[in-house]
Amino acid sequence: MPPPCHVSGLELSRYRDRELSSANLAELEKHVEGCGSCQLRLADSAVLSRLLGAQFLQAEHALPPGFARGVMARLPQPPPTLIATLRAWLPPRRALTLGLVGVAAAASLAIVFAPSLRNQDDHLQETTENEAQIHSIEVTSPDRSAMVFESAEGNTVIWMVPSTDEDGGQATPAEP
Amino acid sequence: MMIGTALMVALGLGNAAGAGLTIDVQVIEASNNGDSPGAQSVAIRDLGATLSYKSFRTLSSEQRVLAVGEGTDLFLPDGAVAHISALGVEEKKRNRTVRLRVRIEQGQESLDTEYSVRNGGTVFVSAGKRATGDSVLVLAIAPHLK
Repeated sequence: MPPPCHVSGLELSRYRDRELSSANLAELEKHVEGCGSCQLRLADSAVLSRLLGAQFLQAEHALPPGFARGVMARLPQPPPTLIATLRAWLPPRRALTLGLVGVAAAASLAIVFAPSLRNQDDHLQETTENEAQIHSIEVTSPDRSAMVFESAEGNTVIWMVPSTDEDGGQATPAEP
Repeated sequence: MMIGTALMVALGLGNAAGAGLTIDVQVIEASNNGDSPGAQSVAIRDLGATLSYKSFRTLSSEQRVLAVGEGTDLFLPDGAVAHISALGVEEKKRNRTVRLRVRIEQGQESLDTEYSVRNGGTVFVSAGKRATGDSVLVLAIAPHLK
């Protein structure tokens, strides 16, 4: 594993979005070229942004009014701290396969139960043929969270992403 | 809770215990260095179209034969270990699904997940970072029933 780096997630995020001064940009660019940890975090961040950006766009165009309320009403109610990690704004096909599992910064444990709607309601068979049904995910990490998404060919990907610094370690969707 | 679930599934699906279950496990390294080799597996092509790493290569590929209720350990580079357990086989309307538990441990980090996937379906699981360089490991796990 690359050695830990002093550059914060916020700095890296501003670097990625070109929100730093040109002097700081140049300085950080030089650093990133030689820092495996920053390169990994940027790669993870790019994946996350791309996926969540696509999700936001799809949700914006395809989500019928009241869908989120309907989905949440069908889900068994886990403890509030866990359900907060499920994003109800996702389009139906991916609503239960894209789960952000927030993990607190200090070596914590996060469990998400995401039973498929297919088991509860045969009318909701909007998952792809290859897609897996996730029953639980549990992450133990000081600074990483798990997210589940669909691959280009409809397979399921369970991925570890850095928890952001800004919100106390909770993974949050990036801006589209 | 997971153990309880595992027991329930194993007991509840006893008829499937005799089903021949083979798990294909491909260990893939994703990196920002270099280019992917020419000949690529289906799993790597899918990953390449999904993740924004520049190169993907297969480090190992093997098959493990499991009965329902059994598990197997896969030792990965840099001290990571993947524990894969077959929890059950379910007959659905049109096809069969396999319920697996995959637990990956590396140092202080662990990812423990339980999922069901159709016979022959692939799930990609993040399997830790390499100690050197800027690459990560991915497991492509595909169960096959006879």
